[in-house]
Amino acid sequence: MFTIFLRTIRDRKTSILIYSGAAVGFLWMYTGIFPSFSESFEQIEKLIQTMPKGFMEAFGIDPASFTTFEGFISSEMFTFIWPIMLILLMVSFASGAIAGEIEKGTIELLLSQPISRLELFIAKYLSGIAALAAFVILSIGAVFPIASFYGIQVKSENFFRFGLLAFAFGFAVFSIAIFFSAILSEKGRANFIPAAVLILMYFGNILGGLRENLRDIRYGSFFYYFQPNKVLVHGEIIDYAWIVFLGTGIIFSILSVIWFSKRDIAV
Amino acid sequence: MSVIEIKDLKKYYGKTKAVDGVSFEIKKGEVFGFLGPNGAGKTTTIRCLMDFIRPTEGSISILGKDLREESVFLKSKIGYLPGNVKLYDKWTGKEHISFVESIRGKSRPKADQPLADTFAKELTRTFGFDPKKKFKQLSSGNKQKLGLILALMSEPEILIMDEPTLGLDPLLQNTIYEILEKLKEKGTTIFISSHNLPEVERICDRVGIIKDGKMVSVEAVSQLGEKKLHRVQARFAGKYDIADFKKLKIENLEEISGGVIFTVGGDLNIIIKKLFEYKIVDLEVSHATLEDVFLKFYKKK
Repeated sequence: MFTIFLRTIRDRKTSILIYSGAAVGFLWMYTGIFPSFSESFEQIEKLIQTMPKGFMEAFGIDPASFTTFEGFISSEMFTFIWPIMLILLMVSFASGAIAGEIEKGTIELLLSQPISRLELFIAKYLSGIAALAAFVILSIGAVFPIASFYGIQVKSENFFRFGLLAFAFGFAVFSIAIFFSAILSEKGRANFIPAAVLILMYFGNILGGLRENLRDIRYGSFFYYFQPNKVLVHGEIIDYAWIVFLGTGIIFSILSVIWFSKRDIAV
Repeated sequence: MSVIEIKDLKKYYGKTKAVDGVSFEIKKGEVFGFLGPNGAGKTTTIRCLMDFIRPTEGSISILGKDLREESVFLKSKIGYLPGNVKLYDKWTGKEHISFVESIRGKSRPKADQPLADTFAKELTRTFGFDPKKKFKQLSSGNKQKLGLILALMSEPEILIMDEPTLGLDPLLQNTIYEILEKLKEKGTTIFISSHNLPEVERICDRVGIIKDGKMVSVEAVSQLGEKKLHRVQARFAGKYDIADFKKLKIENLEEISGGVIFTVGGDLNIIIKKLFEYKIVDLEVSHATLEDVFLKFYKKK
């Protein structure tokens, strides 16, 4: 099992490093912009006050978004770019882990070895979780040396709390993606379906924020519970966020392993 | 004792019956050929035997143990070669070998070999395989060689091979037959699927014949010899009398430019004698295809 875990990580290390490196690059860029941006706080605050409340809620903007480093970095990076990068990494990792192996036919080499399907699944699953942890730690942890480089004070506790929430969010995304990878045999479909589900969630959350009569659909979206602004600026996490992320992750992980253990695998 | 025992194996995909009631046993040290035309159900049976797919009905036991319950233990005893070797494009042959070694353990060096030598290295030398090349850079023959090395390197008690010589040149085919003969001498039980009748005749002790998902016959190879068919094509220098050939026990007789073409079963001597009554300018005798054999002997079953 450990051999497959290590080998999977080795095979995917380039994509993990590229995604993490790109995230660190964005973080560096926005952190570098922040000192010059902070000089225009007053005008920005006035501009924000003219924006509709629904629009600001939908996109997770509050006045502190542009007047504190945490608010700035969350609205510029962690609300949109960062989740997209995490989703791309997790969905592609998961689809390649099982459906990709079936599509290429390489799964026969693995299935013909003296390891159970459960062990094979766990090896692939843990390699995905390790990739998630690496991405979260590198892309969020890098804020401390980068901010220090520019002489910016950060709320360490809020970033730590955000790191945990981001990991839980990634865990839920990965578990949904690995579920589709475990039940399908084509990588393309295993990429498309979870990506489509997450895009629907994203727009569902925006729509729910803009229209009062559709407000409740936000509760079905991960993006309602994943609000970097609230965590980084105020240290708050939306109610039930942990239950939603960890619950979804655990349920889809269990369903994946049951399905993968029972299914026919013909390449 | 039976090493492999399949009882009433059925695998249905909706209304399609890929395998429909296949039963057979393979004894220790036996080389069993699984013969059938394309689409007969050979690969589906092998996939069930490897626990890649689960039977709709029936049971499979290997070394007296239920395949589903003891899958991990049994796979440690099985070497498997798929019909179409598909491995990791970016890995080299050496990386594939190391990967399998790290799961199964290294094969023991022989007494006359240095400690660092393994059966995998011996096979690499025997096949003339370059382990430094990436899988995607290998020719189809070399891909098959790597598949064979991976299947054989742990010196398994049981070998399951789906078309092992597919796409290989005759020299390499012979090398494989020799390796299989050596393994047989050591007591390895070998299950080979093939649609190549001469191959099966050369290396197998018994043959199971599958058609449309059903087992139509299990016979000793010696019995199969009686069903051997040849295709004969002869061209003559002068005139010949077609009626001479119609009297013989031959089938599918056709006249071609300056000669005849037909299929013949059993003893060839009578036919050869008749042909040599004429002055021959060209003579070709080849094995009939498996499809011809099926048409003649198993069509009704």
